[in-house]
Amino acid sequence: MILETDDVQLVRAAQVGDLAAFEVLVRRYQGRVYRVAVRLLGDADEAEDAAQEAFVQAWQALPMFRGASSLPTWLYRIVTNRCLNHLQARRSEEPLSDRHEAQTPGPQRAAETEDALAALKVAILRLTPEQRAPLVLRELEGRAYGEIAEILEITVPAVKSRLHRARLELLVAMRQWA
Amino acid sequence: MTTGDDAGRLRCGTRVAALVDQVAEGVPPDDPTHQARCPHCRAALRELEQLWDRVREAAREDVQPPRRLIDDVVRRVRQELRALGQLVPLETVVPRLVRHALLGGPRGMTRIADSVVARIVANTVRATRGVHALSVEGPGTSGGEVPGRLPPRGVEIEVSGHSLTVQVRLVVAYGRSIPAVTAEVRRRVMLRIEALTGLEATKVDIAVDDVFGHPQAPAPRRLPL
Repeated sequence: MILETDDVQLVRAAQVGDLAAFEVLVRRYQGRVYRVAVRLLGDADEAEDAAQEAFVQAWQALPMFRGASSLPTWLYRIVTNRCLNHLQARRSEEPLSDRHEAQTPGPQRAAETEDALAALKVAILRLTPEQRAPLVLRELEGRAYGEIAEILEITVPAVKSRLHRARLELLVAMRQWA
Repeated sequence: MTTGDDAGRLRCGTRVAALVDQVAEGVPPDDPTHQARCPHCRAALRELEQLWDRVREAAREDVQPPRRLIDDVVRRVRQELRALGQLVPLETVVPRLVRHALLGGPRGMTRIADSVVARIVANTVRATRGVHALSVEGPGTSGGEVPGRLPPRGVEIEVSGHSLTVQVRLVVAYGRSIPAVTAEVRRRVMLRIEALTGLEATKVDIAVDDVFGHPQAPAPRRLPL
């Protein structure tokens, strides 16, 4: 049996410039980094950019990585921050018309034309970023409260209360087109 | 689901919010006896479960990153390394790095020579109660950075990235508890390195080479009169 080299060893090698070690880490975590970006941004191209930037940023910051969080948690934090910043920029670029209001069909239309899953995604994208991030990390990524708190750099009670409101919002939206 | 009032309660008084969390978390109900009998609760739970199934389905969805993602990342990092003049074969990187700690970020790299760390360790060890001296035997840290200034003896540093391991050889004052002294040395060395350099000492190995000093005369035993 071949034992996989663990994160700690790979991180140590990457920290001193071992690109091959870093590549193994990218391969290992690209799935979740990209997935969380898609789920937060709702756009494949933007998610690809965010994931790419997140990994480049991770490489740059790697010498500072102390292992206070696990590597996947740290990567989640980097990509989530990038996505949240991106959403904020998107919002301030188009202050008058909400982009998703304008470009994506409302949940009701989506429910008529596509399946329930597509409609759910639209409903998630209509949550505020503050609610969307904990919802995606908890319900879609299955992360623990403590880890989400680390990723979003907020307290566990704050995670719980945002998540709670996000769930209610989502249910209200789903009921409208149920 | 039929809500009894605007405060989000069912007609039976149960908070809808509690049911939502129950369904989303998959935890047992607060009041199982009530829920098992209450038609309002059961209807609401049925509806919530049905709605929440879509969220579960979304969580199971297989989302794959585009194949080019990894190549794009590697290409970008390689460009960065080239720009920094760092992309050299690993064999030449390693010996150079052995004697330095690297702290880096997007705005530049900091190199800390291990003789710097050795000096900090030596000063810290000497200032610790119960330590008589550092051992003069044995190799000191290789390669002092300042010509004419010898690196401290009795301390060796091994650096890897931002973390390092420390080896100390010392002489303990006679009569002191060796485990207590070495524990204190270890604690202070780790704190001091972190405080002064930002590096993390992951291991401090200590060799006690000797003890020094006169055995203190035992305190006269007081008779229990």
